Amino acid sequence: MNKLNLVSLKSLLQCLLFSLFISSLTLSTVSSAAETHYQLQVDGLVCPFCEYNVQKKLGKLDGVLKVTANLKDGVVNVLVADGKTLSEKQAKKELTDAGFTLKSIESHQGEK
Amino acid sequence: MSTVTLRVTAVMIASVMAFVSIGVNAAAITFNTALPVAKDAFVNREQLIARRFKNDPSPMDRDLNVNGLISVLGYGINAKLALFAAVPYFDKTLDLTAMDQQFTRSTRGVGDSKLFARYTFLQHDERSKTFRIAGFGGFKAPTGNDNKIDSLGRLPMPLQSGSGAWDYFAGVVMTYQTLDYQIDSQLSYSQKGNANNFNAGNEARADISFQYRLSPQQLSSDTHSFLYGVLEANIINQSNNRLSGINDPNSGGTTLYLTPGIQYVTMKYILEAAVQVPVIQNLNGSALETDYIFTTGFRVNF
Repeated sequence: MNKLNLVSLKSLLQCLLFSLFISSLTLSTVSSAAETHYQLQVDGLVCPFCEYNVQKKLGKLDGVLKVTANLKDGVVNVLVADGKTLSEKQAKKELTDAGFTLKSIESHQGEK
Repeated sequence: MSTVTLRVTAVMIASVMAFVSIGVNAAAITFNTALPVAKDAFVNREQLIARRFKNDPSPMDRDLNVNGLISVLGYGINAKLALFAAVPYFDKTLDLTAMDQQFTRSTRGVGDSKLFARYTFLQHDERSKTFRIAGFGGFKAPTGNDNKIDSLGRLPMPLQSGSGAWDYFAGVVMTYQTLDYQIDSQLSYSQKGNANNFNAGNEARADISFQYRLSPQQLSSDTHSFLYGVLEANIINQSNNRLSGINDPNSGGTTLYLTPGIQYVTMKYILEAAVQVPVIQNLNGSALETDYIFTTGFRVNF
């Protein structure tokens, strides 16, 4: 009897974990589909110490979820939440304040 | 001895000037560059400096050790204009021989503080490179004690923590930086003030720095720290000090330093160390020669 109970409990836990896993995958897919990824070509980005102020300036903007820099290519990637946008004017101002020059900006809906 | 004052001051100025650049890039260790501090951002530099003077050409066999901690805070008014404040703390010890007796005189305390501004008037950015030129100017306020007395009487001015005088300085700085290397150069002039019947000689200097990325040798998309090898050169000319309006013939001169160093640069902080070795010391009279200047410290962005 006890053995049966343990087996049932184990099966129940497995089901729960599987459901949670599927739910998280679904939510994640929905979330990334709604976010917008901006790719900024930034001139003057020449060392790791530069990155901090770029991240700080862009990261404070409303809706910005993540900022990463690729020094090698002079690219800054910005992930913006669903319903929010990053305008060229905003990006240019923040990068100028950080001491750099915005060369171009591209957006890709639903990509991470 | 009077030359010592100038050189101690020069070390402080050099370290302060070096801070000017810390807002954005790796930068020189012994002088500043043109790269800006971001708008509304702070930067802090703490630098420990140990300077040794041992080759005394006079019979006094003077041996001077100067240790300093320089704390500097910078703030970006905007992307072009930044303000800096610097406060040093000095520990100076002088050993000398007079009348067949050895004497030790020492002092420690806060030194003279500096306040200055830097404006970047030319900036040309390209992909993975930048060229900038800035002008800077400021003053040194007499916040240090210039009236320390020991059992032998009042310490000579060069040994005091402060000068009692207001100094003014200005200069221009240029930076060219790529992902692989950086070149900085600077010209500056410092006008010294008069206090306690002592007027330190004015100083003109030219500096150049070359920083080369040693690691990583190949960049990847997620590289976020660099290790730089650094080689700098500083040529400093100081005019004679004036004591009660009379030129001190045992002060002033020209020194050329070569400075190998190393920097570890991350997003939030920089660790650095360098040794300034005097390769030419064309000093006046019996002015005390420098053996070396060791500098180490860190900078943080916040």
